Amino acid sequence: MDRRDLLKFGSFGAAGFLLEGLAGGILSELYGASTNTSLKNYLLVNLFMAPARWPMDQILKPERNSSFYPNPFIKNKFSNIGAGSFNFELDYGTSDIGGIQFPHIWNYEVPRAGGGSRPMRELADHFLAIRGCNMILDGHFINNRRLDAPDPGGVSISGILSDLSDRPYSGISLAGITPYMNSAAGAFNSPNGKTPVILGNEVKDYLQYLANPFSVAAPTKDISQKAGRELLTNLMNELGANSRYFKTSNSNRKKAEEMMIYGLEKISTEYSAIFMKYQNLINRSLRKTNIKGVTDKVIPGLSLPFSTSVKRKENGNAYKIEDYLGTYRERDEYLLDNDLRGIFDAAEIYELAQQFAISEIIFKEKLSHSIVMTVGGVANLKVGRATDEENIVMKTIGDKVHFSYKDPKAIRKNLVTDHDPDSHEAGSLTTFLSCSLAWNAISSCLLEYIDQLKKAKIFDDTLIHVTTEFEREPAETDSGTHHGVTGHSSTLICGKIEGPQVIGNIYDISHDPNDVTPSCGTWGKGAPVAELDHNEIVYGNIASSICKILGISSPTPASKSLVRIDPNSKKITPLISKAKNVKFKKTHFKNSKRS
Amino acid sequence: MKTGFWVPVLLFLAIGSITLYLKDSNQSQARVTTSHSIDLSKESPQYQKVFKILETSCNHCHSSYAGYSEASWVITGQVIPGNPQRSYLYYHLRGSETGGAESMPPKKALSKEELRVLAEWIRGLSKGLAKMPASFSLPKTLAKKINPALTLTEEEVYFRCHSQFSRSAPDSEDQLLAKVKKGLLSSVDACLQLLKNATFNSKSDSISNSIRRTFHGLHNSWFNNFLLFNLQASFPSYDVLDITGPALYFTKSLFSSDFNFNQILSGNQNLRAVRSQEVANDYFIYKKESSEMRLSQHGFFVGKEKNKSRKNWNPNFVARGNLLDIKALKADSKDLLPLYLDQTDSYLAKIFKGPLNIRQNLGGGLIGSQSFLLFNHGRELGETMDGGLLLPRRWSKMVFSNLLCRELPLLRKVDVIKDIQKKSDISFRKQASCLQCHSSIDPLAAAARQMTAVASSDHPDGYTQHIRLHSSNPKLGNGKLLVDSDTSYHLRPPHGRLRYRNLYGKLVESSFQNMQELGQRLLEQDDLYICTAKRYLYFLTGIDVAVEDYSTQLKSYDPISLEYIRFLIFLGKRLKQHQNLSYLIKDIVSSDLYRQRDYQIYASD
Amino acid sequence: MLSLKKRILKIQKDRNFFLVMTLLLCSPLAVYGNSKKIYRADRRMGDRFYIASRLQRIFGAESSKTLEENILSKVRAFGGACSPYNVISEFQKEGKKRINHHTKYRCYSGLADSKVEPFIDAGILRTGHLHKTCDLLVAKQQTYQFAINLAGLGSNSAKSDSNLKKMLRLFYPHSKKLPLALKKVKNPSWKLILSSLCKSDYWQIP
Repeated sequence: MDRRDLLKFGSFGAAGFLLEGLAGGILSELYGASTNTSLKNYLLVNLFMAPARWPMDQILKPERNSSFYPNPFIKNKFSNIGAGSFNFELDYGTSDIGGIQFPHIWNYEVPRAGGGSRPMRELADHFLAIRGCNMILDGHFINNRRLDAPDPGGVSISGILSDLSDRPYSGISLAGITPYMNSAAGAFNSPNGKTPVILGNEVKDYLQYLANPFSVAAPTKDISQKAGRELLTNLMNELGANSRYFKTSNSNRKKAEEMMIYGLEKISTEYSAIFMKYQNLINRSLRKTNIKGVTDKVIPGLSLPFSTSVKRKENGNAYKIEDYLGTYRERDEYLLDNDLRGIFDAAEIYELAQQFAISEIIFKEKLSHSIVMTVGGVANLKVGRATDEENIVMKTIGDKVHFSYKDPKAIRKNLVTDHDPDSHEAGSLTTFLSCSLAWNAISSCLLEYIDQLKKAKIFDDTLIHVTTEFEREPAETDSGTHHGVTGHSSTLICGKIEGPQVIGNIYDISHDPNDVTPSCGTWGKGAPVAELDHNEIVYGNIASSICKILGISSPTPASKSLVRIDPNSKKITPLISKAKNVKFKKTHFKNSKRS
Repeated sequence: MKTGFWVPVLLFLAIGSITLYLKDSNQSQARVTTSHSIDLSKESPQYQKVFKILETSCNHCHSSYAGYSEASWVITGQVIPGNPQRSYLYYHLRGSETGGAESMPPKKALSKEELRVLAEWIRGLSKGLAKMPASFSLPKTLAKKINPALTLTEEEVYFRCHSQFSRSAPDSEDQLLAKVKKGLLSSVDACLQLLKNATFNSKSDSISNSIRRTFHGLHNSWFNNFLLFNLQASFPSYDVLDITGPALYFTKSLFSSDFNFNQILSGNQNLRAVRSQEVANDYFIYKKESSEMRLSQHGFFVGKEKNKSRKNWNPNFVARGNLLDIKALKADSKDLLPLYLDQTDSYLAKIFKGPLNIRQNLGGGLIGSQSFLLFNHGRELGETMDGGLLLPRRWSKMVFSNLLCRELPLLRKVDVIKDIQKKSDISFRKQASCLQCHSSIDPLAAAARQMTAVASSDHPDGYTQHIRLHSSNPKLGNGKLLVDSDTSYHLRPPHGRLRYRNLYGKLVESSFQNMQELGQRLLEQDDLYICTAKRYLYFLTGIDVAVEDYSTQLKSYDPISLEYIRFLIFLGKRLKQHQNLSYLIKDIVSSDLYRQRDYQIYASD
Repeated sequence: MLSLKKRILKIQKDRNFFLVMTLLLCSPLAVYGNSKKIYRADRRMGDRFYIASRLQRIFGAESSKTLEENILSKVRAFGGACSPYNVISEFQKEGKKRINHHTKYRCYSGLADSKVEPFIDAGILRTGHLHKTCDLLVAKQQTYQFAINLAGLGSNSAKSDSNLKKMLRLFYPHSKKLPLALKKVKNPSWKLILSSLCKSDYWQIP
């Protein structure tokens, strides 16, 4: 062949290899292999038992002029507050950040590590909210587990991630005070059978627990560490010669020895400091706060005797005690303190400080790629005075109803209770206060956590997912709230998101007879999205979006991702149009309950 | 040079696009059979004659026989090859004079000639291995590369199986080890002997206890229990209903001398474990919120608190201790709930008057058993099925997943086009992509349409959940299978269809009249046996072979994968034939694979 | 205009070129054609009961507490499901008969442990737990002594080939060859050798 032929030959060859590469790409796509070499970190922060999100990060009004039907119980600020019981007005307040109407509390500041405060709205810089997702199934445990493993009994996002990860721990589940099987912390399921480490409240020191297997037992005088390692290496090389298991055994041994030499214990003093830092933030976020419109003025509790006009429900049934007085209710008790702010003076969110502290260590020291954090509710509320329903007498005279104590001496004093995030039995006031303060604590921890990730230059490669099982739907009266299964929302925070953004449609007001309280106002019930063939978002879409960002295959491939990643800048942008509050159409509700 | 330039490029593009096109799993390669009756031309001439007889005299009542191949009769245990007298089919016939039931057909007996044809057919049946479908053939075998340095001796093989079965090494006094050392017993036979020693009702030493415990735990790990994280997990349930319920069927088959594999999916008995119960234990086995509660203090209840109608209930408890035997569970008066509720909310729950037998069973063995239905019901308490949105779909998915090792979707787009209902109100009935799953799930779920989950009481400390079965009313007629909503759906006869592409790529579409017949349909599927073989193979060797529709990508599997597929199908087919789990274990233990130290017989694994 | 000979040569050249090109361009299909792997070969490691049983046999009854704390309680590191109905509650004190061999099978941290896989391909957590257990058992005098005696040796026995083999056989009862690594160590103690054998992975695969 002459030179020209060689050139042609060569160029065809090159074209062949190019096409080969293309074919390889297509083929690996078909086989589902991930060609992504840099795996991302994933932190799932799930607030267990579905607390109300309207004082937290739920965007009910994406734009200033979004259609919004106020509900008497979906409130997040005081518009005015006077002396005595029932002498206040609650409102749904907002904070405009980038044109999006965030809840009221975002106007203000949260504690900063080391002292002082910082604006909460910094959290909106890399914030993407996905609202209006229909979870279809009801139930806390099954839905919380689905946050990680969307198909019940199937593989979990943390599991898929762990199969591709070569870090020492496949996955870390921080179960908090909950039995781990009931939440996402117990839903880890990897296709290759990996198992996570589960840290719950029976573990006193999380770092010790992680370090424990690698803490070297007290050596005897005649075993030198170095000689031991050398002998073991040589011994295993010989015993494993020709064995197909040699590679895994050897790499496990090496990594375990690294952990032992490295000694996680050595960072235990550092860990204590980090733990104290978060504990301090949480304490300052919950106790003696002075948030404008929330805890800046005295909040009188219930005081009897009290009278008001008779009210009836839509179906004609009379109101019960809990319907009239429910705004002051927390579980079985009606709160009578002169200043309800005092009940938070010793408030805690159990295990949260350790959870954030260990999460910082885990990503910084590259111990794992996935963390599932199950967060409990605001607890240790010190109630000065309270009474239960048995001690309240309700008398109806004409069109007025009168409440008084059966026995004033039977008032309970100095109780300790906690706010039930599953606020079936907590009214608008107690819910709004507890959830606002809980969010204060969580956002303060998150901001500090993000600072640390930025310092370690891993924020761009970390996805933080803050969510609950589903939103809450107010009851017909101020006696509590119900499960809003058709309106889940997820907040995604990642360095590559240019926030704030919000996607997903909700009904401004839903007349669906399947709702617990139809026509109650805007609470976040999922509405159809044009780009999804006019169906609501389902959790599979959110799972696919998360996996898109993490660069792994989705456990629910049939549900489309809602975001795309720009191949060059790696920026995360939505694939569906901006969030809208949609008008309810009668034809919609037939599909509201799927298989 | 022009041809020299363009032709290879075009050829490449052509070959490339054809390859990619073929890789699309939506393309069918195997021939599609669309009816549920068999292809008679594939059967032996003797059976063809038999089939005609059955068609004339039996099928108008026993319509399922239309779907029976020759192999089906043997596999479902209704015909014993070579022995007409003991064959269920034959000894029920009038004039057969076998000393059996002799009452079929009810009105007019078969003629002497017809009886002779039947008997001759049965006698002529050999126990030969059923062949794989002609359209599915695996490429050439790969040569093994066995490293003799890593081959185990007989003694080492016995050490291995003893360690795996009982999770302890054989000690120096082990008699079987001594025999193997002396060469008096092969390692395979010694391993089989270990299993035999653990048979129920033989001597119960600690090794046998351990072996039963190991395998029962293995079987239990194959099944899900979605009740564990349902709305308000009802923790007292597991003292009344065995949490390892579905696994009992497999364990019984392995350790009972009179419970063939096909009985796992046949019959309407729930099973109960007989355990050693050496120490009376008064605590619930399920810790509620990490604290132990005493049975005697908290007890069991029926009914609602309202109007003080809640009362104590004294059920039969699940036995505790080492597993000694597995027997059929016969319900007695303690298994009757006088009252039950349709939900557990004290205000909203409706009370129903019993008595409700909590040990009801739909037939079909495991799949219709109380525990398998309950753990997989996936619905809310009190819901009755309506054929549309309300179907026991979780149960249906788990039949495919737990028993056939197959994950949805299991149908190709071309298979479901005819199921599209544009006028339906249900979104997943309108799109082929949704129907690829739903056309398998929904018609199968019809077998369990009679079930409704109920609760025993509204006690705050916990209640027990049970499956209530509505009685079906044949007068209502069969009704449609893929409907939007049918208020009588749960009362109609529980007919349905098994529809999926099996691992050979063949489209399976067989009807069943009830759960028992569904069990028979499943017993005819190779997938069932290959799934069981896969699981045992993994347990014994650590090799996990995926079970899927192999036909679409046969050419793209690497050679070692093909060998494992071949081996798996071999194991499965043999299990289908001998219906004996210990023989399956024997097949694996006798293989070259098991006899290598690191379970490797092909190079570069 | 080319001569006939040159034309024939040219056609031949074209044909060769044509064949080579086709082969080259079709090669990616051959490369990617049959490489789909449909199986997984996990290391079939023994579960926690097997490991604990082997170690108890070697180190004696005094090892049970260490094994309980470091092996049996690490359900997800080693695998091995609990048996839900094998129960003796720790609070239970009535009855004279206490059958202790039930206790290790009970589900002490909840029924979810009854669904754990029969074996779990070890990650480094398992390696860490095992290394620690081995160190603890060798450091404790009674368990060390038991193992040494079981091998038919004393703490001062010579490091001869036959003695080393006896030690090796504790963990690898069927091994034929003595690993050279055991002989290469400078002034090894029996404790060092015992500990290293204990930590080696391969005896854990039954």
